[in-house]
Amino acid sequence: MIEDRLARTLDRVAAAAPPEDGAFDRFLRHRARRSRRTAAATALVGLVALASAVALAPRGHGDAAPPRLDVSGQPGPEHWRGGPLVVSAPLEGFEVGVPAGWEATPTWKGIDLRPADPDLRRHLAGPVQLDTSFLAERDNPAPNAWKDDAYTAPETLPTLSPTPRGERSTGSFPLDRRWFRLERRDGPWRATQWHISWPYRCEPGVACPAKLAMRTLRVAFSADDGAWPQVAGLGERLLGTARPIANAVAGQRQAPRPDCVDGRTVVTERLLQTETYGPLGVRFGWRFRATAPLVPCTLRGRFAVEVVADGRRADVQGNADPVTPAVDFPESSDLRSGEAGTATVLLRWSNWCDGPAAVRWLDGVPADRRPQPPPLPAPPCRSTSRPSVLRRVG
Amino acid sequence: VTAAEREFREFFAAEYGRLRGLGFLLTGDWAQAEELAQDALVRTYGAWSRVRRHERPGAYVRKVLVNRHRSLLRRAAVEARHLAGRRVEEACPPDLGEDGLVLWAAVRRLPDRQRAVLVLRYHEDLPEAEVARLLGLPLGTVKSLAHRGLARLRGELGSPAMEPTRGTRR
Repeated sequence: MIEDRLARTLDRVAAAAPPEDGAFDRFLRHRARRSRRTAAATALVGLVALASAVALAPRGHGDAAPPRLDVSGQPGPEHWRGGPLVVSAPLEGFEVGVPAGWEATPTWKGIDLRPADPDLRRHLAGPVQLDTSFLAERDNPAPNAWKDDAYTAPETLPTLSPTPRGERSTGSFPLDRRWFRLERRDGPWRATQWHISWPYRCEPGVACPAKLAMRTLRVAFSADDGAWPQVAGLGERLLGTARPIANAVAGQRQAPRPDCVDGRTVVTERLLQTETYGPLGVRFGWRFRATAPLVPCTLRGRFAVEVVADGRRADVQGNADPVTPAVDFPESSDLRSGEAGTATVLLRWSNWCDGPAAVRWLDGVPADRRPQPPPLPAPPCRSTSRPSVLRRVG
Repeated sequence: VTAAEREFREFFAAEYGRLRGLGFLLTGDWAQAEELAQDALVRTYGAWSRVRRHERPGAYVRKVLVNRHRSLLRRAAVEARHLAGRRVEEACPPDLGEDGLVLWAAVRRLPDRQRAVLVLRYHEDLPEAEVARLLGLPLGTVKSLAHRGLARLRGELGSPAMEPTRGTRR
């Protein structure tokens, strides 16, 4: 009886849970977060608006405006500019003031900062990074942000992989900007990441995938104990006064997007699937994933596979025809997983009635992101009177 | 620690694993299952002074979990995405045997409502009327969903499941 088999299988699946250590501790944290959220939800909105107004206030007082540094997501050669300085990064949705005593340079996902004083600089393992990132609900300072009506419900709640290492803590900057912090020791360095919630907002009228509400504004640095207070003070100041602009403000137009860069704003992987039911065939494909900074970009490129037999391009309809996707990240989401910041291109090869064949991928995907080469899964012969076909199916 | 809190802690220990399992059967994702279980228990804790007097507090928390899952599904066109998006790259649970793996893969490909009906009916062992009440569906719809779900499983068990994209393949 299918009913009995189903009941047995469901019971065994449900019983195969991974370990649940610390469940009650997580429950206590979950409960505390929920209480805090309930109490602070209304006040937070008003206070964040107030914080934005305060951050903007000096600009309207007739003082000489500080110089500006515009960040476009396509940094040129490293070029440090000294503060005071206003940095505008519309692709990351923030504008922030860099104080005197610090220098800034654009990066592909935000800015780097360093002390103007070379002596102090030696106490840092590298630049202070200010950029956007992504935290799953468990750690996110605003874990319920995706429940806003502007977001569509996730098929799976966002997860972060790999889980960042370090000691976790939470707190609030002035004006009730709640933060999440990760810290760990690395020799003399105290490596620190600070995050505040910085939800990504899609263009007006576009339903945003829920994952994008989990974006954060992040400050990361490694400093020794001597410099940590000064660097931490800078981090607190940046995150406490950053102003949301462009894609961090509901209803605002997006800044023009640069093309996605593989390995930076997007990661491309090959897919290979053998169909064992339905139309029967072999699927070749590519999955494109936005990287954790969720920096907007437009994916372009040419992707194809070529079936080769007897050392020549095989007689297959659509053989080596390129597919040229054009999708906007991070809004795009994969129908298969529902996950935001992903897109998939799939080709199906069916009805192969000739001898041995090989397949060449024409895509430029790096070797470390290719599937293990299995024996060529040539599709079965369904009809010798019909052509072998390679065509896009997704 | 008050007596009520002690009771809740015992209740938590007794119910958590089962709730997580139910969450996994409904969602197919352990992270989401944990979130559902935690959320259901937090909400139950909020009403614990009342719920602790119930004859079956476990039924209450399971109802909260199912309702929470329903509300997630209601948002936007999630169900449509479930129907369109067949996941093929999920890790299979261990020790099910080949038949079990094939059956579980087929269950995961069911539309959400069919899957929820079958899980509540055959894992939670609830009568159809109770399933209908939990899911907020007419009894006839539940019967129809169960019938179609089982029929689909029977149909699919005749064919091998779609294999994972990468890794080992038969």
